[in-house]
Amino acid sequence: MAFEVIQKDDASRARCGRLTTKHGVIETPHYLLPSLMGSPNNLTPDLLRAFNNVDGLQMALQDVVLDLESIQGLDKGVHGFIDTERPLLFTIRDPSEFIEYSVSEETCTVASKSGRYKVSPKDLVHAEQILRPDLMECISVEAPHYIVSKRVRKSVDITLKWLDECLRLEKEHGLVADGETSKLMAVIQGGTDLKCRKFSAQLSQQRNVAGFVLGSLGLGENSDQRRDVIKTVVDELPESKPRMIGGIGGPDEVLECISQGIDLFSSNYIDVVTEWGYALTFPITSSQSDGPYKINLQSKTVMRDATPILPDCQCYTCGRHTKAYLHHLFNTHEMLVSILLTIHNTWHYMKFFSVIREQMRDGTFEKWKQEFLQRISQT
Amino acid sequence: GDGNCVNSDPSSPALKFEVTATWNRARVATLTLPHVQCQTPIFMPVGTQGTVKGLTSQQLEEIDCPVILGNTYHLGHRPGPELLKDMGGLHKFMNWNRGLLTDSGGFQMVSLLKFAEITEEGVRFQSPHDGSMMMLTPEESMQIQNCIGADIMMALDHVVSSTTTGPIVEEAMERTLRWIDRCISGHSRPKEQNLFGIVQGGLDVDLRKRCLDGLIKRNLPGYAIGGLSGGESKDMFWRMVDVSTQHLPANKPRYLMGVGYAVDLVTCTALGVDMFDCVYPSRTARFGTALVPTGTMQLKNSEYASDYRPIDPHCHCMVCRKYTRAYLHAIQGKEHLSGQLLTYHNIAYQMNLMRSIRENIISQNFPNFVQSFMKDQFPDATIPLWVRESLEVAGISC
Repeated sequence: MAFEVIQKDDASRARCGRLTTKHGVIETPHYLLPSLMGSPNNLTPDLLRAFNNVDGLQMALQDVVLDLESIQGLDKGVHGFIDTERPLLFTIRDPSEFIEYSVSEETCTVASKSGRYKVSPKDLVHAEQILRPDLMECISVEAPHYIVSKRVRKSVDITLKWLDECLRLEKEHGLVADGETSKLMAVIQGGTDLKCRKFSAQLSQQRNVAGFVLGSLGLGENSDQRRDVIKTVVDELPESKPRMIGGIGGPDEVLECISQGIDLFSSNYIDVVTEWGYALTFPITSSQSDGPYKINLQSKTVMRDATPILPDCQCYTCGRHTKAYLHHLFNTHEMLVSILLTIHNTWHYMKFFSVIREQMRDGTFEKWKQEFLQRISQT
Repeated sequence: GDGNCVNSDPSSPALKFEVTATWNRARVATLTLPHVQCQTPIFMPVGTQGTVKGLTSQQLEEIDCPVILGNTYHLGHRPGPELLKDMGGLHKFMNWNRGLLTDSGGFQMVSLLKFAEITEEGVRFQSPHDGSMMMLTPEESMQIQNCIGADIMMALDHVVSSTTTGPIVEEAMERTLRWIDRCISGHSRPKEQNLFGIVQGGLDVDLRKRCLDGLIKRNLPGYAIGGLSGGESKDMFWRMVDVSTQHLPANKPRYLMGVGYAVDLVTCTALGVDMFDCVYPSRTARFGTALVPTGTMQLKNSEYASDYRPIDPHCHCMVCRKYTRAYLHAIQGKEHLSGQLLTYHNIAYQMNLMRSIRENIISQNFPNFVQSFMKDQFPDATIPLWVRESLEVAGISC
């Protein structure tokens, strides 16, 4: 696993890069589609094949924790078990749910397929051994913005303790040789307490990890709090390793994070938009300047609209179906609408990320970003 | 369709049916409809509201599915016949360019609604939306189906449950014959859409024959066998199918409604049925069940947790080429993924089965195929009596 910064933006901390793994390259900034066993929600492998800009996928440890024996039996890692060649990054939890569990010094609790499951450092390394992921988030103690200071400091301490224990166990089990970098990503915690965040970041970056996850964000903190936390943390982190944030998906928020130096994202934004019956149409380039941000397919105004969601969208849904048909499917609660709408929304959103990378390579990111934010503020 | 007749026979301008191979009563034919040409026997998945649950139209094309069903009751309500007509018909609305078949709407009403009663005028029912009393007449059923624009439309018939006995069975059969004439008059697009009559008569051989004779006199493009696959015994089931296929004309397609399971498809094909439909493959997929040559596979069972073989090593569908039973076991219960993948496989299974049936009829290997199929489905010589008897009548000993 290697990360290389290709280009840095002049006006901000934004950068584009390449994350090279055994299973392929992820071009950053990248959005890792959340997946269940390698299939993003509603996208069966034939539907996913149409995308050429899905470099990697996110999977959640909680989704496989009861299947480790099954995966181990095949002895081909999780890639062999789910039959994928894509880079896989494991988060601990499913991005669509945040459940608060009581804090334990020994284990991190996750919601598995059949109830609560406790994951200790030993369990995590054992899972890593079986799964052989490209990247894996380390277990940590979450501390959203509303947690009081004593708890916040505790979350940082336990998180660091677990990280060190996991790294030690990795060495012990021969997963990481001397001098080699672990595949684990250290999680920076500390709530909105900037001192704690700085402490967490400083100590984490001393460890030989693959990258960093800025934990407990996207949980209701306001944009100022988030901005301050990200700045404080990124101040301490090396440029040469990737930084990830989960739970942030809105295009304007994503852009803000990218300007602050974040490389990887994963959230359930696409799912939520789709579930509510919205088709994403926000104008990505200046040639699309007068479109709405999104279209409500439940609205009667599209009941007889025999045109696709977006006339120049190359996705399967826009190539084949009309808003009128999608409205009918939504109205009758048919499963197909989730699939068709997911296809379009994923296409549009991944295109957004492709354009971000393009703009960065061309050195025009900040200018494009300002124009983009201006365009969507008018929708 | 666009009004170009597919057949020079004036009694069936929108449907051509040419038998190309037979083995006893089983037959392979080329069926030409306004939107598709295919080989029968065929299985038609059910696409109730303009979609086969969880599958895209491209996936249905990949699986090689020639015709799907739409339900007039549901479509007539949402999005409604006017909208469908304005949108150019259901084909255009859902962008499905192959065959469509719609039922009359009557069956759903009787089975889904709290209050529905059949009078001479039509089916009187209580609208589930505002409680007002409404009526679906044969004429209205034709009108709605004409708006939908399917290649094949079903006559409105008086369905009685196969477990019903008494004078109502004869009454329903007679009414069905009176209604077929009203359907024929009310059908405004005979050059583009084919009206099929439905044989009723419960479990009474005479009534079935009388109904058959009445329908045949109307010289329709095709005929369906209705009122079966309810609660009747398998013994009565096959005998009623047998009566119907024996007496329906050989040069017209025969459609057995609501069937079904793999064993039924094979036995009824042997008896001379050409077309089938059933919700079973897609519905059972959503419960984690895969269709396989030996019957079914319940992927929720823990025995599959470490089984790294595909569902069916002889199936070449996307799911069997890519995924193991262990994988499919691991994804049970969370989100739709399992339902999508198993629906894809199960419908592919049905298509593959029909293809095998056709190939074996053509190659004259049909009896060996049937015997081998039954051995897989019923190991240890447990083939049910009704299967053996029906196949005996078809000329195959098991």
